Amino acid sequence: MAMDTEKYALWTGIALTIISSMLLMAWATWITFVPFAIGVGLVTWALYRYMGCQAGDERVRQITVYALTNSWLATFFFVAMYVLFGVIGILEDLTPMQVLAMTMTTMLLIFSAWFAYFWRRGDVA
Amino acid sequence: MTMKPVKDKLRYYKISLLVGSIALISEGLLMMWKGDIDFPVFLGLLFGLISMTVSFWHYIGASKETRDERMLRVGTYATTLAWFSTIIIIDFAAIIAHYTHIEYNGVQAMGFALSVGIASMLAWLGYYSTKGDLGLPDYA
Repeated sequence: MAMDTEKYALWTGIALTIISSMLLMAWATWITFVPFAIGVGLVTWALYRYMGCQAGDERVRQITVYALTNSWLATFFFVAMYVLFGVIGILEDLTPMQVLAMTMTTMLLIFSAWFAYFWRRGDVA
Repeated sequence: MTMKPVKDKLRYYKISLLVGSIALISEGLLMMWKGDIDFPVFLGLLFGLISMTVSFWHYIGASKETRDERMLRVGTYATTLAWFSTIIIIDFAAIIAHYTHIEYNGVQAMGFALSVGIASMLAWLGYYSTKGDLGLPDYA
């Protein structure tokens, strides 16, 4: 039951953050900041619970830790790609808000992919 | 043929990880200072990225030759908390910069995100490496 709450909070948080990040890129106002902050809060809370092994499941903790580690490293490859875009002059046309929202969306999308992958895979060792 | 001891190899990986991280932080700070990107900055970034990621898995004991359960725990915990720190700092930076009307461009924002991400990883890695016990967190 507790695991379900965290699972729903995690995926709702990820969806909310990504959608509001997209909105922030076009329209930065408190109306888009509120769902964004709620989304980040939900993701942080759910992952914090997973990492703390709330449900007494070591496997879930391992999945979370490895998904976050892989996501963190992969994000920098995407950042390098965005920098390459900057070299050819695309990044300068973006506003700082768009760049930060794009970075956060990248982090969350990569994490979601790794998390789903490890969740479906049986062994995380 | 003599094999290098694991301790020696770990030292090389540690140096490579530090050099890569410092290169990435420097490139990030350079982007923030100049507000512009050129090809040498991109090359420096690529060098830092390769140096850091290649040595990272070895340093944290995830490879066969340097297998170490404690370091694996330290490394994954450090990057996990670096991920949290980065996303929360970027979140606050975006909100603060928007409402205080600080003048900066997309390149500077990217440099900031890059520097914060790497610096937080180094900070957490340093913290957990010096901490003795690495049991499950108490907040469970």
